[in-house]
Amino acid sequence: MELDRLQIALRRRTPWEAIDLGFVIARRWFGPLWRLWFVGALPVGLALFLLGGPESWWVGLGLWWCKPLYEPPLLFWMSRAVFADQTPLREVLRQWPRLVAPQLLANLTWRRFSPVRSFSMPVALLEGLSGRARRERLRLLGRNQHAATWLTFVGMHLETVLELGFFVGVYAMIPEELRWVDLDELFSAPGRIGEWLQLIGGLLCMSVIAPFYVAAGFALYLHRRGELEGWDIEIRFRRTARRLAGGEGRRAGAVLALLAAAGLSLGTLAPSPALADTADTVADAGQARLLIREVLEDDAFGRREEVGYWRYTGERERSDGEEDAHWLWRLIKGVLEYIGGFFKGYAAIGKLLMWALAVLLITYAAYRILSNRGWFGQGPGRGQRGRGRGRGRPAQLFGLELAPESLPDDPAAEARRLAQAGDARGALSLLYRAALSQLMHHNRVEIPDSATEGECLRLVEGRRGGAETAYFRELTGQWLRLAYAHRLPERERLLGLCERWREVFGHVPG
Amino acid sequence: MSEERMQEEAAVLERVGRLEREIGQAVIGQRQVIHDITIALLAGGHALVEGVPGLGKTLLVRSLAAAVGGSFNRVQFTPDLMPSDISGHFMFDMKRDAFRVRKGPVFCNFLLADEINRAPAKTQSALLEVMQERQVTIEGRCFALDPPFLVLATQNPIEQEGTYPLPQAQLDRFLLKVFIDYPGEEEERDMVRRVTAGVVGDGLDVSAVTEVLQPEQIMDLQRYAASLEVDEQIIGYAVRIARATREWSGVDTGCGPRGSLSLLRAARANAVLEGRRFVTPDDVKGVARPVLRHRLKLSADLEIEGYRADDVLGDILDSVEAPRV
Repeated sequence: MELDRLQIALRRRTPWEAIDLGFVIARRWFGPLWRLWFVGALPVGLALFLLGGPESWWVGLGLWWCKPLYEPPLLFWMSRAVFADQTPLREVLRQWPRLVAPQLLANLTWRRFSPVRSFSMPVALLEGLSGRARRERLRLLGRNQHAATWLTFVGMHLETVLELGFFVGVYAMIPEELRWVDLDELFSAPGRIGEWLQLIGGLLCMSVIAPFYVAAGFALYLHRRGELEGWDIEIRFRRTARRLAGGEGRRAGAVLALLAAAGLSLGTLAPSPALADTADTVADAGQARLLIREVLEDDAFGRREEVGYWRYTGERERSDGEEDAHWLWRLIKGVLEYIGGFFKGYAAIGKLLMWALAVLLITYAAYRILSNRGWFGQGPGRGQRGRGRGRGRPAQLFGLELAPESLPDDPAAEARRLAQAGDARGALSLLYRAALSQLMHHNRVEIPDSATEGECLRLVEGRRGGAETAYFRELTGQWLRLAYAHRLPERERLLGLCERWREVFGHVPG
Repeated sequence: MSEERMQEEAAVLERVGRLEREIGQAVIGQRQVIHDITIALLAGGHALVEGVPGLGKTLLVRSLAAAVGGSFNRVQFTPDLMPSDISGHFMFDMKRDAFRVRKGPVFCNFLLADEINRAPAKTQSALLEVMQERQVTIEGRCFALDPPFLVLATQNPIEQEGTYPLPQAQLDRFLLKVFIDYPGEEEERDMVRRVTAGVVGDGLDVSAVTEVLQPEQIMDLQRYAASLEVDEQIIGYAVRIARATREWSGVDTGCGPRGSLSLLRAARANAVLEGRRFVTPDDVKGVARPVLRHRLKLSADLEIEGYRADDVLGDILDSVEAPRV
């Protein structure tokens, strides 16, 4: 590896900046990368088409599934291009079997759904590791690295959005007069034009996203390698050495020794071919260490300072209730950790999704409580949307006691006595009350407590015979006049109502 | 109450009954609408009529005007209608070399404001002010309107593009909101037979309507309705219904005190139409829907579920206890 020829600026970056760097790489070499992808995917697509026949969905699925077949050449080409070696496409194609074949079965089966596919691909392809060595290398490189998972997650969605956009865009380009089918019926239309459009769209969109995906994964890999192996430092040292080697020969030996020492010290973190090259100039590691210590003691490397502070190291006292109070929190945390640990790459997404779910649930619960707060209240009308409330037999209606036991044995006789005593209101009230009670408890007329006198009359008209209806109509009329116009009925008419009550309802209310 | 007074009242009540029948001569198959509009007339209020075109809204107002002997005007509300197109304006008379007032169509007894939601808010407000104040101010001079003054504004429930829906505060000015629906088959057949017999063109024929009341008598009737005896329990019932709309689940905004007032005014008019001299709970319940339906603002989820104000009002009326005497 010749770091001097590196075409990208290596410096300390966050993983997100590394992804950005990958996108810049993809943009810069989009043409060759896109062609490489297409050259790989097209034969696969044709082969699938020939095998799958008219089932276009099968072809689409197969194309998507076989991505590990056409992504390695992109990575291979890029890994050389960043070191200023743009391999001709023909050369890459010649090497295609050698690039794709290693670990192909794993790549097409269980590793196909790995969320860090783009990040782990260089380990197998460029470092040539497999089995346990690959796993350990990935464990080291992937420690605290979640960006690759997000890259896959976002890339997948972008691809879907692009595909949908292509689909709708093509449909929108068809002049309205020439559209023979609606957008939502495109899939079921004769000729399965929708499926074919989806296939073409899928192919195009995959080809657009793939260079960015592979390049971003590669950049993440480079960033991680650079971070672990101090590539940026090495490059600086080399440049310094070159500069000094030109005019200041007397210091060259010391710098070269320093460079070698740095290479050795960094080389203990991870093996690097580049560092192995530099180590050739070093005769003795012990000398180098002494030299490093000597150099570091120079004022230019700052000073060492000791700072003291107090920290409680004993066990923290806990109240009895504290443990119970936080059991839910610990449970949630445990679940999140479990999910996070289950799939290392999915940890960040799982945690985020759990939080999102919790927020959604709380928001939904709050919304339901707010929108149905009437359920918790008392008073008329709160939360009662359904009909039928009060369809039973109320014990009171219009303020009148209607229970049979609250009425005298012979209401007509009692009403007559009251009327003769001059209590017309009491007499009429008793007659009306007794009539309603009779209708509700004996004639099974259901009267809700929201019913007005007029509605009671209409109910009776609909359920009872002519004599009862006629009597009740007159009684209601007199009652309304008395209750709301405060007009007393004539004595004869009131006595007549008392007499007829017996004829219509009999004399016993209960 | 003197015998003479009672006879006079009986005659008035009889004429009110005839008023409905007379309008029914021309407007066939819309009994409930006629009843509601007559309530608005007797209560001294205005009505908002909602219905698709061609159901006889113009004919209804013309018939009302013919039966009462009042003047009738119609204004078709359009997006370019200006307030002065309704109220009137000053113009320079070249012959007299002076300004004179040109009174707008609002100067009448019965005004049909057709498709009120097609005009912008400024013009709507101008009309709604006139409805409230019953006077028009032109260039600083006030002109009182001749009573009775009834505005029948119409809205089309379809074709809402480019309309200016009346805000809640403006809707509150209408005493009633009446839905006018298609007539029944029998009634429509009767209408077609009677309207097309010997008629050239599609002009509205109100010749069958005879004048049964004078505008002055309408005023008397309004005063009579306003003086009807109302028991305290009836007032309580109206208030309970109005208050229930404010606390009801699924109603964002219930009706204000104007709703209770309107409920009682309309109930009084309903009692007059029923030929009674006192108000019963049935009068209140009978007018509750047209009086309150435009004063409720349902919550979004209730509207999405397909509930209408009438459904909610039905539930409210079913749950509010009738008066306890």
